[in-house]
Amino acid sequence: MENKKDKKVLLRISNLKQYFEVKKTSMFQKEQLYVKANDGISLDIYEGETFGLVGESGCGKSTFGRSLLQLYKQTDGRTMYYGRPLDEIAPRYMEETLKNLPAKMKALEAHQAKVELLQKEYDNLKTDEEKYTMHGKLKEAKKIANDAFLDIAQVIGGFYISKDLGKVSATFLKEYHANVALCIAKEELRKLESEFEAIKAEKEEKKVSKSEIDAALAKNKAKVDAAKKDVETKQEIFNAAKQEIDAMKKDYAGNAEFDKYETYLDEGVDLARLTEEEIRRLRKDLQLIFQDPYSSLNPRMSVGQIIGEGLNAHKVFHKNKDKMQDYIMQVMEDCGLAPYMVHRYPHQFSGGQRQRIGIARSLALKPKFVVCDEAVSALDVSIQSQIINLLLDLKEKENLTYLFISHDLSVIKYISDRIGVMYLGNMVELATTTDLFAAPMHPYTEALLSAIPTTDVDDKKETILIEGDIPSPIKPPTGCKFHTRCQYCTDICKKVVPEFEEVTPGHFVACHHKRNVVESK
Amino acid sequence: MALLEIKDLHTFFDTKKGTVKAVNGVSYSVDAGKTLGVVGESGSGKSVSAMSILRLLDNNGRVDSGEIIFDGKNIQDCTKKEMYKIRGNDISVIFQEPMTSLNPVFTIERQLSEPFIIHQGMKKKEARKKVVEMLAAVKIPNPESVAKQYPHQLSGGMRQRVMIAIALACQPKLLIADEPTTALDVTIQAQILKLMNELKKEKGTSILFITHDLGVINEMADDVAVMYCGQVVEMAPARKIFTKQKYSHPYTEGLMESIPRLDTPTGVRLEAIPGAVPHPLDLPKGCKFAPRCKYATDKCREEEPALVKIEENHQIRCFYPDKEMRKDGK
Amino acid sequence: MSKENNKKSKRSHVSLLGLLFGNRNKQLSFLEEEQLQSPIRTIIKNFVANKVAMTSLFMFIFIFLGVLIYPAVNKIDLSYQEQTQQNVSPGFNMMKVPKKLQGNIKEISIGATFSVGLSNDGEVFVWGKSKITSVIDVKNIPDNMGNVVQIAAGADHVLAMNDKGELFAWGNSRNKQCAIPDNLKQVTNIKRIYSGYQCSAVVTEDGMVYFWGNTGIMDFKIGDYQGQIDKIAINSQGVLGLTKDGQVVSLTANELAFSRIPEGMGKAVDIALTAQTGAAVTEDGKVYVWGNKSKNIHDGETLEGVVAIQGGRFHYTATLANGDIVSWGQEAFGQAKVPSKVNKANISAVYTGYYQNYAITEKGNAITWGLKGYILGTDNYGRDVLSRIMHGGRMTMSIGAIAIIISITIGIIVGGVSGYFGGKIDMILMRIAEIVYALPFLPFAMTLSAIIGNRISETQRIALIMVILGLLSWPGDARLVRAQVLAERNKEFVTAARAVGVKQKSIIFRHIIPNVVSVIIVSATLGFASAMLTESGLSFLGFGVREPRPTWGNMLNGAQSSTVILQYWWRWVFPSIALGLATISINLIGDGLRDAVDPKANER
Repeated sequence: MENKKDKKVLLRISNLKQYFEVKKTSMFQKEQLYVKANDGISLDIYEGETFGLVGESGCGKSTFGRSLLQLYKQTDGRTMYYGRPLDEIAPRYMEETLKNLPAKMKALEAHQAKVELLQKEYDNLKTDEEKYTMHGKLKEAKKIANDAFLDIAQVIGGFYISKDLGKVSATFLKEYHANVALCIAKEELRKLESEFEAIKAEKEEKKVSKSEIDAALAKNKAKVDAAKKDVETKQEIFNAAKQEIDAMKKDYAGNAEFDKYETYLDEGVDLARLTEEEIRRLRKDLQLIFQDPYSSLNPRMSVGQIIGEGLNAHKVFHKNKDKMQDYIMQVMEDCGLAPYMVHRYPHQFSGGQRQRIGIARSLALKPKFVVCDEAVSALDVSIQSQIINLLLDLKEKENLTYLFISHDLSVIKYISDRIGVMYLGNMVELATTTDLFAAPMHPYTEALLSAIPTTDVDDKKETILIEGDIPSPIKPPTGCKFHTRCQYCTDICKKVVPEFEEVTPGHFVACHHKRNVVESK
Repeated sequence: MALLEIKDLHTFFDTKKGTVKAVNGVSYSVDAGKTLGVVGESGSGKSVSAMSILRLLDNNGRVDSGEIIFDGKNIQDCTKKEMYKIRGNDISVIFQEPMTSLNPVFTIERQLSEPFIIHQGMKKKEARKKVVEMLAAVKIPNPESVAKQYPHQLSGGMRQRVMIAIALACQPKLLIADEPTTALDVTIQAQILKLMNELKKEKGTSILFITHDLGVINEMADDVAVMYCGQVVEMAPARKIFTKQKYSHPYTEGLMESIPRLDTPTGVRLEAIPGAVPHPLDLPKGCKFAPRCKYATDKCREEEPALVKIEENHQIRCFYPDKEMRKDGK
Repeated sequence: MSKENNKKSKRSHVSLLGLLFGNRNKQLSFLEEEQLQSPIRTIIKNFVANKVAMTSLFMFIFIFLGVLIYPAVNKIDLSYQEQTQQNVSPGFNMMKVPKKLQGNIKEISIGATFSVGLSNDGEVFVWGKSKITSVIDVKNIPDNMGNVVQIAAGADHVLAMNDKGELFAWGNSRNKQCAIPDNLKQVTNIKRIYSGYQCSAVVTEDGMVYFWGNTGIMDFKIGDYQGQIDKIAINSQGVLGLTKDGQVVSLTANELAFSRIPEGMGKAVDIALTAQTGAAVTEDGKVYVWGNKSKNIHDGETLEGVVAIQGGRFHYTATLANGDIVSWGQEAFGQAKVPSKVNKANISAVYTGYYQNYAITEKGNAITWGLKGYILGTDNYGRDVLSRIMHGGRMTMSIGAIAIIISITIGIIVGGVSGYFGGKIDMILMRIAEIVYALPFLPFAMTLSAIIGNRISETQRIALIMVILGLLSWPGDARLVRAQVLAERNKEFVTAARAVGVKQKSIIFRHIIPNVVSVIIVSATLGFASAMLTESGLSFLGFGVREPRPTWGNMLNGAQSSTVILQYWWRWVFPSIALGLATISINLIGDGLRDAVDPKANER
């Protein structure tokens, strides 16, 4: 078992919910129905791992992948991303929190008071029956209070205990604004440098004399120098603002409570709260590979245009077309496509090659995290393994983190380090690959594993058939959602939603009747 | 005795750009009460060969040559009327997507009772009773209420069960199952496969099972025909295909090694078959698999090997069927 | 990856491009061929391969260029009317002298749309558009006229005289122009016979003029000059006389353009009339022209040595003393353009009338110049149908094009906004579209045109029709665009573009719009045809563009009467063919485009 402390968390998803409104069938229908595609999923994804997500169609695994990338605006929950320092992004929501610090604090206190009240009520209840119903309410209130707390603590850390919130707010805001200015200056400098290089390369190709090059570049060089100086001054202002905060911290030196809250300080970015433009800029890091290599490529764009689209959007090679062309060809070669194909159109490629184009498009941006949404499911059997090999090679080379979504357990098992099993919008089991296959704890996982047809002729294992179909996600069953098909189902399953708990280290299950627990210990 | 025997079947499609030889000299046979699994990638001609049997080809398709002997009779000679009788009565088909084969405006009951009323001259009431029996036979819970429902009210698995019920309605001798579980989830697939196996045992129906999934073939088939580019490249009992044998076709070997299976150890690189299936209008000279075969020699690229009987019940279309020999460099 | 390697691959790609655009000596297999094609090229290839669409395209280009170039070259005179050329059937036989007559011509007389010839044997021939009405045809020459010595063709009748001095008249006799007066039967010394517009006249040796027929319009009044007249000239309005002592006199009571005869001309030897002017040749060989000074009719006044003059509708032809023939005046049908071979040959006589000229050589052959006929006939105002079809086509097509531009523009905006933003905006816009869709088009357009149409000028009226057409036909386009935008917006490659961080704006411009454009082009093409048809329908019913401005629709207007349908078929058949060909070819082009754009069409 790997120790998770050794690994850096890249994404921490807590309580992600994704509800889609169902169109009302008549004018008189009052109740708004939702498809609960994801109903409170919590999960950590570590840097450099491949996380496999498996489940049947309609369980919400693809939706989860897309909600994670904020391609759908998630309904609720936090998706913290640790791939970049917070300073580099300087999200707008931080400014909002800092500005309204005192008001937020007051709201938090109100929430906490409500939780206490409910807790008292809950404790006074007698029967289990009543407790079940009350439990949900209490949990909800606790969640709200905790969210409000984290919103504040993650930004100001130890200053949570500060009496003078006005001063804290002002100081932090000053730092924030200095940081934003610095970020803009840095981006400007990068663009100018890219342009400078492009002109230089162009002139050099024409073989003009060095003095001419210098003359032509003089203007650009001056611009770059000015930008550099600008960055320096902005950096100084920012440093000064930081020092001011450090100075404030000195007042609390040795304060145990301050240190306790200081640990809440979070370097992660909550993707769910980013603005459209902020998340757009972050998409460089977070990529998606699609299932269908036919519909995911615009038939009117050549391969070069498709791959270059992301690069253009992020101005990676600002005004430097030659360098971009070279880079695109290199990426194509890395993904097993002959570079001379750069001007061809998608319809001229086979399914496997198209999938390579899709992969090249994603990886051209040098992402840190890639969601592979059924990336090999639509491919022919002999092509699947080519693509799997390619994905594994690229992962090693670029130090990628994958979220690999598939309904095919064999593929998932082969490629993943850890596996999450989803059923009807919920994560029912999460464990390392070895653990999961050796000792599946959830009855659904167990059945799923045994249902896979194998090519082993001598394997005379008894297939555990689960009867019936997947229930509708619009009106999921109460309690444990699997209880309608579960052979171990008892009364409690029908009423109480099982907790998603860590049974053995790194092995999470949501079930009232866990299987194979003894054996795995 | 073979129930169905296909001998040297050629099925061609005429397109604007030329003739696509979708099935190019395929021979296989289905024994009575047995299941023949036909496995291959898309474009290998596995479905077309089966549809040729029932003459359910698209307008531009035609059976160019070959014999199709069903129950001792060459059904190539049958008239349209006779074929109409054979279809559904002696040979039934289950397709991949059940929704397209069910009429959305009629209830299940109505659709299922029709063949009884037409073919067997039953009364409406009798036929309805029979429908409920049939639905029960394919393990549909509440057959009475399901019979009153419309296709869109059923789930994919249920629909496929209904399709099986329709296919088995007239007690056919042969059931052609064309990727019947590809569109279904694994748990539902397991249900359907189990059901088909049970029905086969019960009624002694022969099955021609077409799929691209080797695992499913292993669950279902007694014999396996591996197809590639319109040809059978290997034919053997399932056991021989799925266990380590002295002889095998490089394509079968490649398929077995390239697909990740539950027992594939992690961290071991998959032995992928390089390249892609050639375009049907631009087939290579010589062995069709030669361009992707790691053992290919000049001979493979020039001459086309024949399907040769290597040992009892085992035919291979390769110049170098011996695994050890070809690994050692022939 | 080394840089060198990249450069190499770049070069190989350059050679591929070379293969594409230049040195394609190598025969490529279809697979390779296909690989080199961009989607646009594929669309073009598909379209070119579609024979029906390509034929239609050429046909449409032909029609389009026709209606573009013809009106640019031949300007239309909207006020033009010519009562002598009404309802002339198509054909070029107006100056086709019969073979039997060639080499044996004694005399020729020219009617409005036909000519009459007299052979040396005294036989009469009629050619040209001789059919006056469904029953009257001047070709029906009376039998037993004997040896005819003089003939005179009027607008729609012919007068002839035989060697016994007997007169014969046939043709249209609506104004009794063919009813020879009884008192003439005793007259034996007829010098010359004349035929004019619905009238006939004779001049006797002793200077007497007998006039019959349409005396009302002509208002013939000879007065004191009876007994002194040497010759007369008749046009559609009046009569001019030349007395024996060389004086030119008006024999019409009304004041006409040519009845003010200039004084001091001297002694005239010959006179002639056109529609608006009179002319005289004096003893000293000079030409005097008076009356309505237009159409270069006075050019002849510079001539010298003229001995004789004859007048057509708008031109004169004169014979000079040296035997040369000169024509001047209106040039529209080439009637004032004397062929060079005329002056090379020895001409014995020249006959001019209406739009034709015949020069008779010594051998009795005729050399002709002037109007041969109309390729597509003329309408009830004597206007050339071809010219009106060409001008009408331009009008119809411009109205169709502008209407469809208006409709498509609204359609794109409404459909695009509706599809892209969805929700409430979509709901409201689509309901508006449905309301407009539900308006009964023809009644609505007719009412609008009738209410507003009478208060505005013709140009405004045309603009109004364009706007009505455009404003009432956008909902179809809007729905189409909306559906397409919705479909495109939900396509996976749009999600893919979002996932790589492409900005909203570039998603719209690079992914959605290009895919919608093809649909719009197809829809616009088909809409163009239907807009043309609708305009024609409106004009046909009299609610669109009105006469005299031609459109294909109002040209068909005449087809509302059964006379036109039965007798003057050319007046509706040709505009219908033009309209039909244009709309069918546009529709077929649209269909071809749709097939070419639709990727599924490739698989079929």
